[in-house]
Amino acid sequence: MTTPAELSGALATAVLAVPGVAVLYPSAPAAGGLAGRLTTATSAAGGAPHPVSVQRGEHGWDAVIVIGVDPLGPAPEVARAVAAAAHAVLSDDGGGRVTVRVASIGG
Amino acid sequence: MTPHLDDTVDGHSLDELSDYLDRGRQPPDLSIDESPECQVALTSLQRLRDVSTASLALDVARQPQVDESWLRGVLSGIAREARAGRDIPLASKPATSLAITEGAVRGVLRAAGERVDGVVIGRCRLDGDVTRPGAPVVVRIDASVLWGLRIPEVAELVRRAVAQDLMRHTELVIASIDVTVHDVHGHPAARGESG
Repeated sequence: MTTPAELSGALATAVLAVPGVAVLYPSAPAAGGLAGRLTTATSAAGGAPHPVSVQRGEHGWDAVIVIGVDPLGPAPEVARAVAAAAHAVLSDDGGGRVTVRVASIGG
Repeated sequence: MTPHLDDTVDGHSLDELSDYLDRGRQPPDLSIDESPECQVALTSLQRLRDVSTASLALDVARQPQVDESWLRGVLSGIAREARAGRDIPLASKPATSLAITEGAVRGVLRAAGERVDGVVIGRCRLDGDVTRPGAPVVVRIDASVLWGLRIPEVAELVRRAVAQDLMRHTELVIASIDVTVHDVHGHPAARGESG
């Protein structure tokens, strides 16, 4: 079975491959609210921090992805493409829910 | 000269962020680099520096009493508006939740307005329930315009630039975009010039 750390890494790779994504910020679990500090994305085992928060939810995996978007965006299209890429990754392991938050544009 | 500020962005003062820019973002500070709020603020600070090269720097140097207050207001706005704020939802499919933060949108507003030559954005506000899809939103922007420019024309250019970028990056229903020019910078008298 895939571990959260493995999924997080796979999600990060998939997200960064989406055109228009400028940066992937460390994220906090959905229940934790807004994009969090690096420490909140650290694995339960105390290992390396995960760029994408992934945890087991009621309906499979819950992934929270926080991105910065290129100035040309458009942000909604990039966010949808990121969600689609994330769902594709999760579908290989039972699927789940994806939250994408655009936290910066340009820069 | 950078006025001392109490405003902080994700735990960092604007003085700290300004120093970080001065150092070319070296050595890397993860608490800044991995904070979207700090990145929004850094982008705004960098743009303010670019804009100020021609006019503001002269003002600050020669009339510190007046311009420090003005600059403090602009910087305070940057700090306040870089914060994430509300989540603005985007249309999404089942098992998916998409949103853009209010801080990111305010960064878009500021960047769009400051693409217009001679404009420095002082404050941006989104009035309305941005968390409810379809709710009408009023965008309010306070701007400072370089002395000598035609204010009505500049205000219209700002309004159009903001409208264009809002349409590109959000799904907000914009009721109106109100641009208020509250200040003029770069006046010859402020630079110690005559004639």
